[in-house]
Amino acid sequence: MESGRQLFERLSKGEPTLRPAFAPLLSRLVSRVSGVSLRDLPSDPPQWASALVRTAELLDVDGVAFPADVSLLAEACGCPVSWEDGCPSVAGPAAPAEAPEQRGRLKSALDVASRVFPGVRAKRGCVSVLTGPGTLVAQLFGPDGVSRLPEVKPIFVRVSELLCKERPDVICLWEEASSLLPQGELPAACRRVYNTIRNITSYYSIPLAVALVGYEPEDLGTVADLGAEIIIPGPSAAGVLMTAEEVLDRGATDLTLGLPLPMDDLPRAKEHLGVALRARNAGRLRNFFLTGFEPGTRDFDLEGLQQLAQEIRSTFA
Amino acid sequence: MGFNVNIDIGGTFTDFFAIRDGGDVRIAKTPSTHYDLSVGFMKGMQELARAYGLPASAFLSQTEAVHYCTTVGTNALIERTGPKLGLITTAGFEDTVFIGRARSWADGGGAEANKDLSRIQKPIPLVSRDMVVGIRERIDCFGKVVCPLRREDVIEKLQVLVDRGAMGFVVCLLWSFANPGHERMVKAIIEEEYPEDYLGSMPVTLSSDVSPKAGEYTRFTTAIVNAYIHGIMGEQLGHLVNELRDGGYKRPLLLVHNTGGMKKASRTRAVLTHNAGPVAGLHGSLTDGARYGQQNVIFTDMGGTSFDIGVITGGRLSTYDFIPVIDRWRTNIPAIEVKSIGAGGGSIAWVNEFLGGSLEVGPRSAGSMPGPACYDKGGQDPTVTDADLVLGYLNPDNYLGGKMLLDPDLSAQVIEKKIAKPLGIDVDEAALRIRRIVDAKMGQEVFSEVVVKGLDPRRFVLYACGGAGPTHACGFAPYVGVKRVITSPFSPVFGAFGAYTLPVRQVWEKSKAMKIFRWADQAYSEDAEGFNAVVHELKDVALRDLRLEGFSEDQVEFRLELEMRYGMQYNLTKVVSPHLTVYGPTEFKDICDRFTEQYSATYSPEATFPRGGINIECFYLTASVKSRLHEPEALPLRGPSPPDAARAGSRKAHWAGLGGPSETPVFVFEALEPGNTLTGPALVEARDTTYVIQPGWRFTLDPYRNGILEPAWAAVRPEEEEKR
Repeated sequence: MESGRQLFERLSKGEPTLRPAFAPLLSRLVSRVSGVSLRDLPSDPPQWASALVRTAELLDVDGVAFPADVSLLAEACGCPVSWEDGCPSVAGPAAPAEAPEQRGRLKSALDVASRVFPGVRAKRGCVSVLTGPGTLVAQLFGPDGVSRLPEVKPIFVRVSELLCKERPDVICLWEEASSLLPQGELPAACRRVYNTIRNITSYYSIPLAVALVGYEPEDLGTVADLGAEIIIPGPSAAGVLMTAEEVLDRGATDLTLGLPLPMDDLPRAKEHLGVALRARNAGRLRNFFLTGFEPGTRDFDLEGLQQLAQEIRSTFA
Repeated sequence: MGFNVNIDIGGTFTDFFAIRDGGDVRIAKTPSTHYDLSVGFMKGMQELARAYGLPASAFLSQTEAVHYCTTVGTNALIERTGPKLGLITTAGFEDTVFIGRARSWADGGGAEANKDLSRIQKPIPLVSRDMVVGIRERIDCFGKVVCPLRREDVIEKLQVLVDRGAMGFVVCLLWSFANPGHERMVKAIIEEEYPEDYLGSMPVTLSSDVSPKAGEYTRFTTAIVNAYIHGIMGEQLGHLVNELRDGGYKRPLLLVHNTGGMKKASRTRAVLTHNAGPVAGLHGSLTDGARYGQQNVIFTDMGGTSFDIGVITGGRLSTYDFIPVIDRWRTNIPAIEVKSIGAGGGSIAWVNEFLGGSLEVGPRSAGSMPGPACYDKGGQDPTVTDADLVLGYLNPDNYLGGKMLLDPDLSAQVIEKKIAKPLGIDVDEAALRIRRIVDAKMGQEVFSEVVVKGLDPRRFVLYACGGAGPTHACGFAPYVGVKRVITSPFSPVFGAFGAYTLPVRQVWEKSKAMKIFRWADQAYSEDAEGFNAVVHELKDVALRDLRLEGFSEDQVEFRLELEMRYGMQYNLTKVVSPHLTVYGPTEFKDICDRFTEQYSATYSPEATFPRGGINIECFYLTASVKSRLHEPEALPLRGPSPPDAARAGSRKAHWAGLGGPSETPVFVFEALEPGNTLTGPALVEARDTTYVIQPGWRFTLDPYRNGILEPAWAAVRPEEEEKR
């Protein structure tokens, strides 16, 4: 059976695989497995790293997607963060700080990635996840901040290169559609920033993914203009996860797909799996992997998630 | 139909030259991926496969040879990623490598660093002082054992090194080139104590194997450098070979040597791979120049990071670097001399506040990451490429054949911020000055290199190679004074093309002092046996080695060179021996006559000093197997006017002396025909370079598709000048 490492290697080369890789976001789940809150984990990078590895092994996932926290970069740039039910969210604007990679939880997260990725790489894929420029500029300057995109470009140059040096298999930028596509259109300034990021990831031969949330279905085709090789369509504006066929019907066929499964609704996750299998057998879905887009709460059904991982293996066997 | 693939790794780009049986050539350039050189390497192979319309696996399985100019070893040295070595030397000489040789603190330091006497320091040694042990032994200069080696002493000193963490041993004993017996005994002891099948086994390097030559400091340093980079090179090249094998290429990987040859990676000494790319390029210009009957060639290669200069006289690569410095270490390898300075397309322009705000270019380079600002990878420093783009010479949509889109706005922004504003000038003027300075720097360096060797550059043709060579040739050639500049269609990948032209070749060397002419009795030596013994020893080793490469004796050609001097003089002169075997005084006289002739040509006939007698100090036997190269056919000449298909409109470009930007005709290189002539100002866009033809210059495409650049004032060709 193909290991997660082999699956991700084939994915990055655009080669077919016997089954899709499964790489859910492991943010809150890591907190649960370690017994340490998300707020406290960053203060102890070795513990955080160890917890991440243990979680990946517990679920036997094919890839480690980290750090899946939309507030990290904004906080490092100076934004205040509020905590609710143990989960962070950006609480206000800020002027971008110098050297955000040296600040706050982001610094710890980068440290953890440098510890974890070399170790897990032999068996599993590694996905670096960070806030995208469209979303960051909205977090820093508010919903009308798109004109200030050039100010965040140096941040992404530095952070992209730092992430690339850890040689992940994919770099994923998380974008809120309302920020990335104000008035439903992709700003030229955003295209330029993405072009720079794309040039950097291309130098390191690392595919670039865009994870989009809060979008209208017709927005999916626009994402292709960013130059990303992978699209991960998260919950739409209606709060719904689209199935494989729904995504393909929207025309996003040239890109590699990261299909998120509803991790808080396992029966529905199995339905999505079935749709993906049908699409693959029909030849519509070639290169794709599976992920989990809703990070679980501390009460998340861990056993259910383990079963889901098993189900994925058996469905595509 | 098999492929021959040649790769040259540079500071900014990795270049590829592939040729199929029948002469079907493809070239490729990919950014050098210094984080893992094999990534850029395999990307380029994939690009070549695409260019031939084949899947990568089919291309690799049909590839018959891969020739590689690698920088793995040099990078390991510069980045200090080598192992912790233990040095075993003759007792009393433990400080040899730390004392160095005279001004060794300046070796490899660069002109600017060496002027800063308050700060210049000797480099941190590759072997720390606590990792050096001395053993009681002594061999004299005739190879006679004066103090025998004691096994117990060796084992005791070995344990000291092991306890201190040695991961490999370098054995350098005095006069070991005259008698390697003691060094070999030490190696045997180490291998008995730490056999290969034990986990504690460690590599052992002998100076008498790596560099059997006189001069303990350079011999020791050469052995240490070789040992230091050996492991890393083995590991990284092994990884590359595995990737190639997995991809379908099952034959050996051949590495290019800085001595002007190449051999299988498994039979290459690590220290011979340093600076191989520029040496390959030099050989490429020798091969191409021979087609024109050019005996005197100045080779230049302007890449992204460095500007390389080499000189060919009399149709031979005869210029050896007498002090080959690898990073900061003076070695004694018989490397071909190619000088490098920090001037390339990626060289960073900056304002030197310490020198009254003067504009400087280089030696720092933006490299491949982030690269020039216009590469849009986050670069914030203006480079020569940014200046060329702002001046309109480069097409932002057609750089590297359109594979890389350039952003001229980014170039203008950084030039304005870092150069124009501080100097109080506009962006265009700043770009012109950047270009002028880098052209002057390169041109003056070439002139110095040629003139210092006692040569007249006006009697040479200049090869302008490298991705930026044709773009700057008209700028730096006037400083040299040449009347003819040749730009090959393979200029952008000339190092890789040069690798194709190289034969399988190695130089075998051994120091042996012999007096072959005595002034007192005006007699020539009769010690033919002594002379022949050295030559036969070197020949045996060479033949055995080439047999393992898969060649038979009748395929091997030999050339013997001798390092000679007048008695009591210090400097050595390298002379091609007229005889491979000597029989008596007659042949020795021939050798002396050749030496006298060479010495007179170099220093003047009045400087000869036969009263000191004439000595041979070192033997260099070059064994080579000629390679079969594809001979390109001369295409028929068309008229001087380019066809319509070659015309690609015009664009605004800046030309010194013509006021502001002016509409400049643009041509497509691939559509030009042999015989077509263009008069500057004009721009010719090729797939991986741009020819910038300045006002006052003429560009002609010759039957081999070489671009010949000639200044309007050059009425006479060099060969015509020779006839006068």
